[in-house]
Amino acid sequence: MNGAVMTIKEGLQEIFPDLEDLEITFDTTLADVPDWDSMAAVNLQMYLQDAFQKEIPEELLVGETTINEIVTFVGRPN
Amino acid sequence: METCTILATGSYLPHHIVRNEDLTQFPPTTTKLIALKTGVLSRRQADAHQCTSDLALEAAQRCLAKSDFPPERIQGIIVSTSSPDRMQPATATAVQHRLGAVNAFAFDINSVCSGSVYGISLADALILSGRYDAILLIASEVYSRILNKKDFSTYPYFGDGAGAILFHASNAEKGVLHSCLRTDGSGRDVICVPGGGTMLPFDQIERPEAAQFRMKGKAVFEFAVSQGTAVIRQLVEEADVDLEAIQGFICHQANINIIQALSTNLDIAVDKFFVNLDKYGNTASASVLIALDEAIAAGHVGPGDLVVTCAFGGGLSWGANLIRL
Repeated sequence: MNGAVMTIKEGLQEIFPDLEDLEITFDTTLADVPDWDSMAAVNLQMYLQDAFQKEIPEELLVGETTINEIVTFVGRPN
Repeated sequence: METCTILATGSYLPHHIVRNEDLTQFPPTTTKLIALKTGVLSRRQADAHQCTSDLALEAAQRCLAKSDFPPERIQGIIVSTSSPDRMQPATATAVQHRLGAVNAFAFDINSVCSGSVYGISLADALILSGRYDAILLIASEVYSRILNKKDFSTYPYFGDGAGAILFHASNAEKGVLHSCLRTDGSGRDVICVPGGGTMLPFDQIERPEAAQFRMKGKAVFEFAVSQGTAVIRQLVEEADVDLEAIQGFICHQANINIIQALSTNLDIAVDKFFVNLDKYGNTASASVLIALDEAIAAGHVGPGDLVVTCAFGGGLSWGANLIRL
């Protein structure tokens, strides 16, 4: 699994500890994650900012955003 | 016929005010999001030296002072809390001792945020049993100690506080008229503190978050709106009272959007629903008792009025009481 995808998955599992067998692919959207909501989006934003040392815009973390779009964003040079 | 009537109410909120803009652990852009998603603008937090029984004692003393009721005449003290002083003994024992209620038995109940309506029903049953004529119900919570400060899904919602009601036996045509209590244990993981009990003892906890409060916000919202609506309808149907006859609705102060949805679903003007969550946030089981005390003080409801109290929370548990003040 791509390293960035793994980090995103770890973030989602920290935010949703009950999702032990969470499976995500590049095509998974945030809305596909059970219990996803706008409050969880802030938790993921803070997790990703810490993990990637990069400002993550809140507009990126909406329900229709795919894992691939997040991976692409965090992979861009600052 | 003997009834369980309210002799006095009281409440206590810690002095320390934490506004949304003070929650600097979250991105600055979230200040407005908290207000939009919860209706909470600020909350109170206990000082470092205060624990749950300290808040409970303050609320109890204020309640007794209003009725000039001597503590030694109290026969039973029920403390509703899901954030107790200690795993054991009951937080109520500290309150009983410090209040000087030397003739009262004292125990805790934990029905998470529904503890207020469960406690009202329990006090009513104790008094209607004929064995007791003075029961003090207190709900006290210090959630600031059991929350993960970095969890945006929970931390902004909650505040600390305590409320109290002194019930006594009376022949007056008022008091607790009816209660409905409901539980669905299949939802026990929706709101929980996973660690620290016998299922996951402290010595097996790998991360501190496992001993902190968590909830699935979306599921809680849907549950609260649907079951809150249903239980209020059940309450008035069973009591054979028209919804229009209710002067005030004192609902759990979890989220302004839940209260507005209850108002819409029941087709009841939203101004009949007392709201103070903007100032205090969600004080868990204390919220209904604090709100009742403030609603009476503000004249939102008064003597002779029919009032519905309603709460919903972990368990999942929910319930409602019909009370004539």
